[in-house]
Amino acid sequence: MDWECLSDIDLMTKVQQGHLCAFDAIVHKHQHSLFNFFRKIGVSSLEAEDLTQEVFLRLFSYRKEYKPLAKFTTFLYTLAHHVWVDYLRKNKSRISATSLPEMDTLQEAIFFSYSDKSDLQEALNTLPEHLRSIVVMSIYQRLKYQEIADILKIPLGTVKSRMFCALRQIKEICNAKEFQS
Amino acid sequence: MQKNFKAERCPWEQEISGYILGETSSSSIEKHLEECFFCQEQLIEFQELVKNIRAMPEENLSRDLAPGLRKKIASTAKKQKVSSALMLNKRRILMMVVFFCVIFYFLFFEKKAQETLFLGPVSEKISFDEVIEKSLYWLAKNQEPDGSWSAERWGGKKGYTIGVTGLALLSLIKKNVEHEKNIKHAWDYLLEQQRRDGLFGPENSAFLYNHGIATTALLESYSIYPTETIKRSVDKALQYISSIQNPEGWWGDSSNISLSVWQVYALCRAYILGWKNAEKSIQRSLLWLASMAKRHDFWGNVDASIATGAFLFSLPEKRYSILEKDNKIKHTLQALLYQPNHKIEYYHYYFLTHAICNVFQNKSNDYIHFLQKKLLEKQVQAGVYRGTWEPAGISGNIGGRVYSTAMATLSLQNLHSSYFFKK
Repeated sequence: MDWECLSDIDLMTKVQQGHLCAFDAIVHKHQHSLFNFFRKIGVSSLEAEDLTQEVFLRLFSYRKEYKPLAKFTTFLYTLAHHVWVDYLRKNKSRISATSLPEMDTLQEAIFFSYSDKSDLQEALNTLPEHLRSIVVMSIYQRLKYQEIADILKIPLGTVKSRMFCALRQIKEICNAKEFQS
Repeated sequence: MQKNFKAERCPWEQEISGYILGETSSSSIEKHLEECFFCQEQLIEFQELVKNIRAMPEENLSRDLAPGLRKKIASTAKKQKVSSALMLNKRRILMMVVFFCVIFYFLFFEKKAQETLFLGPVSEKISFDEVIEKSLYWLAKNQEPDGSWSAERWGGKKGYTIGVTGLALLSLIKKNVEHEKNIKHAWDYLLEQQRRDGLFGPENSAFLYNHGIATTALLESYSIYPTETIKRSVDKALQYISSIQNPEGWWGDSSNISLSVWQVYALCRAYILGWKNAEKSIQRSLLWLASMAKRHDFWGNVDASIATGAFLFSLPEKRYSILEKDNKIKHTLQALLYQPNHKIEYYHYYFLTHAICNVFQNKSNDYIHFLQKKLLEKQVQAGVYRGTWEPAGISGNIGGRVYSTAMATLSLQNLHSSYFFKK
């Protein structure tokens, strides 16, 4: 059987029936986008691979709980978001000291070091976690606002306002960088 | 920078990002964009930003994750088998521990709880007997020389002395051995007030309260001291109640349930004590009450009506009526009990405690504890009024301190008897 041709929902149904090949097909189909999701929200390359793997392990554990009522990607990114939140909790002290800035105000964030990576990625990393995930899911992963609201379990209006807030902040950080240079 | 931004804000600004991402309907925003220079500028900036984010280079995984995942799934399945066997044993042990703890609790702690019922805040535990003793002592001490308890002297209204005396007598009757002298003195007063037609006192605006309460108090007295004098008085009093009952079943004013409540209560107690001819009056009154409940969706929104109505509805003697058990009364009581900003109104408390103990028999003691706590918080702990309850609410201003103390004591006695009844 050519598993890669089946839809996500069909593949999940097969996984629920015990077909591990269907699970492989799901992994092949989504591992790349999931990995990039973690990378874009500021996780290092090595850890992004681990987190992607963790998402698929959870997907397999919760396979029987999946019901094809919503889009498969909503279910998958809900798991991914949970994995990321767990990761942040576990590494809270380390992250705040290294990869994510501790600053509270935008002004402080502007002077954060941009030395190695692209300005845009760095500006993204500077955003607070709740804004960063929305930008990545919406712009980069192209998920709909409603899907994001379902994944994050927040109202649709909150997604909209956070998105605006995030774009505004990125823009300001980039402007400040240009001004500095 | 932020200051400038705020100054230029437009109410449509949040829609711009949605528009770029295809989330907002285009027609309305496009119309706005034609007019708003700020949003036009923002649109251009955001469009560029979104384009740049989307153009950010993608990275490739260093390896295919599928084979590694297969291995992990296989090893997890093995571990799960082993751990589920261990968990089963752990659960068994845990269940045994819980089982023994429950047995231990019932053997030791519950026995202690039965011996002394503690009321009120944990910090100042006071035994039930102490609370009641204090209030009864005050009542006994302040009985008038004629055997009454004056409503007027303690902040109430003049015409209510008979009713207030009846309530004080009702509170004392449960401790009849200690207060026999006061009880007998109170009978003398009440019997002296009874007219030839059976009514206690004059036919003033309070006569239905006075008469109903006095009759109930004498009936309770008769259950302990079945004397011929009390019986004759009660005979006449009951005859009077039946004679003034409206054919529809109510007394005085059909819109005021609390006027009828004491008459029905007296009739029900009389029936239990052997006055079987009270049955027709009881049936008529309970039928009227059922129609009131139906018409006003369970006695409307007035607390007094709900409490007294619920009390009547929950009387064990209701087997004489055609009323059927209804879950709605439970919800009504719960709502009344746990309403926010609960005001102290001893009149309601008296009927609520009765109703709750009747309706929630064999259920949790939560309601009982809640009411106990409320009542105990308000008892005066020192000074001349030690052991009393401050008059509160409309009825408190009418009945005064004797009334509030008697009603609070009776409520606690209701709860206490119910607590031990359940145990």
